[in-house]
Amino acid sequence: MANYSIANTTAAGAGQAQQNLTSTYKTLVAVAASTLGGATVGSQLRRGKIYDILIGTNGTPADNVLEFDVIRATIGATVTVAGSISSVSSNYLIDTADTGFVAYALINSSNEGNITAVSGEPWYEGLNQRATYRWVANPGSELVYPAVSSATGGNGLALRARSPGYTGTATRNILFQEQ
Amino acid sequence: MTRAGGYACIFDPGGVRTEWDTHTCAHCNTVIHMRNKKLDDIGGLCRQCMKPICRGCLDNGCTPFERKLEMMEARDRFRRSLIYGGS
Repeated sequence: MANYSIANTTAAGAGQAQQNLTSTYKTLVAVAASTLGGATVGSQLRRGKIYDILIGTNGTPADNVLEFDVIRATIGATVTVAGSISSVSSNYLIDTADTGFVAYALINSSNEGNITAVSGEPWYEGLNQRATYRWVANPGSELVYPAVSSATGGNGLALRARSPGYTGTATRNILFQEQ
Repeated sequence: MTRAGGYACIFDPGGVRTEWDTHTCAHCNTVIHMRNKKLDDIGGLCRQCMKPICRGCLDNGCTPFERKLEMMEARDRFRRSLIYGGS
């Protein structure tokens, strides 16, 4: 089981630039089991677990409310999705002796329409814009996505943010592992 | 909370740090912040799988999330076997 860290920046060489938030949800980071991934192990599907979430903002400080959530969604499929990082998944290793992940991952996808069929919201938090938040799961209590393809549905987790007042960018970092 | 499923903290404006234990529902995988001591808000304990569950799962039967994952994966394997001949 290798561990990975994905922040919603382009520093590791992939993904889209951070998107300004609006009153509708924007996906900051998404990760899914999908045959669209497979940079290192072909089309093998693997179960994954998010065990650490860190969130905040990096715009001009002010007092606004921001909503962050994690949704269970169908991610991938037959359309081109902006922000894919799977081709350089080895850049996101925590232990560099491991191999890259086979999941299909997105950073700051601007195509919300390609994250479809929301089937659950296992994590939600409302925050002041100036606040930062961290959640760490104990082993066995992680957010899990199944090893299924997007054709079956519910194959991934998308971490999103929105705000009725704040129009800057938000930061997010997730740590996850593949089984 | 003993044997919590996780831990969350918020660093609010003004340097106030607020911390909670969390638990993850064994039936739907939802993360619950243990913000108060009202049991109605934080869910309960499933007496069949003996794991903490969220408020939304209190009135439902016991289907552990692990079982739901296995069913989804079995369905996907079956679908892929029809398309790709077992790959």
